[in-house]
Amino acid sequence: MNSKPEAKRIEIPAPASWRKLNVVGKSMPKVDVINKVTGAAIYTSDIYPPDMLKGHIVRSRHTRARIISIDKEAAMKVPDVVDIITCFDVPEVHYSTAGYPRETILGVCPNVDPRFMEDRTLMEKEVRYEGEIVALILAENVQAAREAESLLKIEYEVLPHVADTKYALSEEAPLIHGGTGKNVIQTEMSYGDIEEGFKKSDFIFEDSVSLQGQQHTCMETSCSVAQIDPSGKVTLWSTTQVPFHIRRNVHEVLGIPMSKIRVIKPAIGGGFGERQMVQNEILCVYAAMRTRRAVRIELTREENIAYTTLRHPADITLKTGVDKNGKILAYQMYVRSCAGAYSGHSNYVTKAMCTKNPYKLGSMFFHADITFTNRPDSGAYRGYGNPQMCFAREYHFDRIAKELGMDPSEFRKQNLVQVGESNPVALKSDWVLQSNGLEACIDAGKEAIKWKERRQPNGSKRYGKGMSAALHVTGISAEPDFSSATIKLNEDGTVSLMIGSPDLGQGCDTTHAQVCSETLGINLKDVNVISADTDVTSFDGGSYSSRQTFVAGNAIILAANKVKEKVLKYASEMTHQQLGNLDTYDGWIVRKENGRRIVSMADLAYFAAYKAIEPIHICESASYNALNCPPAFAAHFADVEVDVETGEIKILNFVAAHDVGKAINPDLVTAQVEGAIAQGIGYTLTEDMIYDERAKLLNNSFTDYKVPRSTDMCPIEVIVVEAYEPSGPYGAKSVGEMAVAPVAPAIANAVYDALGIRINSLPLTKEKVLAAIKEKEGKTSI
Amino acid sequence: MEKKYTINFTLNGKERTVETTAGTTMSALLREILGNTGTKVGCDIGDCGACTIIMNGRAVKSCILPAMKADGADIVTIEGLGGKDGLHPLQKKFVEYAAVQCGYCTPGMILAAKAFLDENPNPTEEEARIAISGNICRCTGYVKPVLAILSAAEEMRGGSY
Repeated sequence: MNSKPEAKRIEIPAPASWRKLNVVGKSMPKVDVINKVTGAAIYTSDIYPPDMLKGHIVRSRHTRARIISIDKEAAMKVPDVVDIITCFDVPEVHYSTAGYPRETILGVCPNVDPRFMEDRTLMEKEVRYEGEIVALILAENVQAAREAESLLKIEYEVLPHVADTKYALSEEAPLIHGGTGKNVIQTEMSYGDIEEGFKKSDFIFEDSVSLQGQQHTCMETSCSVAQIDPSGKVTLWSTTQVPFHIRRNVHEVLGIPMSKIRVIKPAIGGGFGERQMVQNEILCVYAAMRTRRAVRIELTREENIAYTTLRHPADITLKTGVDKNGKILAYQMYVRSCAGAYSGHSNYVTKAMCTKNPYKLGSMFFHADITFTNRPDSGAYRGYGNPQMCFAREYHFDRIAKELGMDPSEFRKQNLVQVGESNPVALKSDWVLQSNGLEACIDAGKEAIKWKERRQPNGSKRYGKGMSAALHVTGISAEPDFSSATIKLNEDGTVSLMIGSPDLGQGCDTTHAQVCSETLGINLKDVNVISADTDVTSFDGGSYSSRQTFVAGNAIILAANKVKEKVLKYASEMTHQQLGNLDTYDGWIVRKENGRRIVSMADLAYFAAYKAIEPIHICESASYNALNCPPAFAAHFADVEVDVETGEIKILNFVAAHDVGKAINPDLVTAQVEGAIAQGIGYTLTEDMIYDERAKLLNNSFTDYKVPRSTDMCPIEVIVVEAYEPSGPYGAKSVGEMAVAPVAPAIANAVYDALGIRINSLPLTKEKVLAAIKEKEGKTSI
Repeated sequence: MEKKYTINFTLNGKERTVETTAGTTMSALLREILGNTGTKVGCDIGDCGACTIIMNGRAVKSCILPAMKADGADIVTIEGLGGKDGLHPLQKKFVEYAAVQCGYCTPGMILAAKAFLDENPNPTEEEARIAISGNICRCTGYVKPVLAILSAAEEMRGGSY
């Protein structure tokens, strides 16, 4: 239990004594940063091909309706309107907005009716949420498109709709997908004997919580630009996290061979999961095919907030049995998540809630009702189910600890999963946990937040501290996950690293370059990263599931080692030294035993290309199949002040301790954590998706949907714990999604510590806090 | 056809004469007519600050600024900040402090900070936070940008900027 923290046992395999990490572990400036601070970086929305049409989306005003007819005649007569595409024009090919291949969809979720999974065409003849696309107007300018929209005659048969999950599950609710018989995908998972677990428990606790939707609000709105040259070659620029999935979907829906489709992700103004799906790319290409013009579909901010996917609203009930010492014996989860109208990522996100759990549970049972409603789709959002379940669990465990009279940090520590035990994210494999720095995170965090010290009430101000613990995946845990990398050596000793997964701003182009240069023994400045271009790079599933550093990083190591092998072979020929005595380091071919420089990589590369007996272009590719999904861990601590007169919560200090395995680039690690905490604070305090009874979003602007601004933030201290992960590149695990999950429960538990009140739903608005205080006062005065 | 008007203004030190219409915003003029796409648009209603430029020394949101309002004005965009001799201290510090993630808010935030520091060369952290409170960033949590701005202020006080 009290074993030495993994963080203090970092070992890099087999380095010679002179050899230290040269690039990995250093806070190098990002490879794309100069272009970003000078305004030179080109984003999808900055691309204006000549002769480009603007695609204007016409959206349904009805929440659920059948489209009987669309008369475009008058609209088409508006000057500058070139084409109008409706549901009667588009191909009758179904696809999943999640973007995953068919085999994966059915393979991962064999218990799901496939009709739920491949559930839409480009435009449906029955619209299933307010704002769903009913037509695309292609015009020279937006003004003409808007005028045409006003002249478009759409005849609807309005149908009864389902606004919320509770009604969706009732007997009288209409079916959102006819023929399926129900509005829900039900799924269950379990291990151990839960009934026996509860029977043996000394205490049983039960809590229910309710979580709202959250919008990613990427700063660049969703944008696709498609251009087709006379030979039929399609170039598609998109704000996407998954260029290869997009290419496959364009191919499958429109029947274009992949060789004729080039998908490029230029610089991108945020991802966070919103773009881990099919956006408007297929439609954009289809429109370009019809009009033989370049086409741009760019969402307005209002559309982007209201009609792109959101974090799943969820109602969760947890029941936990513990013995008198606080050991967990049985753990039961019931989740009702709101999928929206189409399944997309909902099945995966909701299921992912089950396993992202850093504790030993004895026995476990999970039931999910993944519920369809006539609302815009829920989807992937940083954390992928983790923030919802983490809030529920850490809220619940905080109460259990307090009621057992235990320090909440001790309750958590004594139930942690340990190295050598089953990897909790891998229900169906026999993966073993090989690193876990969570205990070190908890200890370091407690010290930083001064856990034992409490402030006295001051006037209307009350003070409290709270904590939470969590785990997140490093790569896809439930299916085969692989990346590939290609590295080519130029004749001057520099290299081009071609990698399929997109940099979303988190900096994976930079960490990938660091892993490449470290492995190859060259300088970072000599690595040119080319990423996310399906015509140029090798295949990669994309940037999601916190997989880039680990999965793509391991592929880069494999490819770099193949390049290095060739380099050394030619170095041996060039220098007449034994192959086995040579190594590479810092841009040089060196002696393996002492690092003495022999010949520069530049001279060697020139030799290999022009002077060797058998000249060669050194270019290698490799694929890495993830052999494990080593979880990252984190413990978060909040120190809050609550004003009992106004209900305002002020976070005085926030400490986030993260086990990342190895920080390839420490600045980028802290940057990820800080940014995720800001999103977590928004989720906890101010961000809410508010719908009317027609399921129309009422707050679709930054004025009404409150993301944190600079003045809303608090001091943040990030602690990086490096529990070396044997399967990771240089020991690295993940960080990007991890950091958002534990924020809300740490704050909510601190609010309880301050007020003695548990509020079981987010966000913790002033109004809600004040109402809870008044309710408690009412009860105490009676 | 909408009526065209001719306007003159200085863009990053160069005199420009362009034709525009009453309905054209400054951000659209900069991006779509002049090709200066360093100025970003995040909301198009003045909420998010991505489109911030400097007009006559003040930070303004170009997505709600009619282009015709720029007639006779001195305009600085992100493209004109560093000049040929390298990066402005704010740009340098944003690089050094890893204050850039997706980078979409960066031009606007840097320009808001520049207009602020030009008037308040020695700000407190709180003042720096307020100065960029009109610039939404979804990536950084503002921690590193604020540090970068304060560090740039220090360098600017000691330097020739």
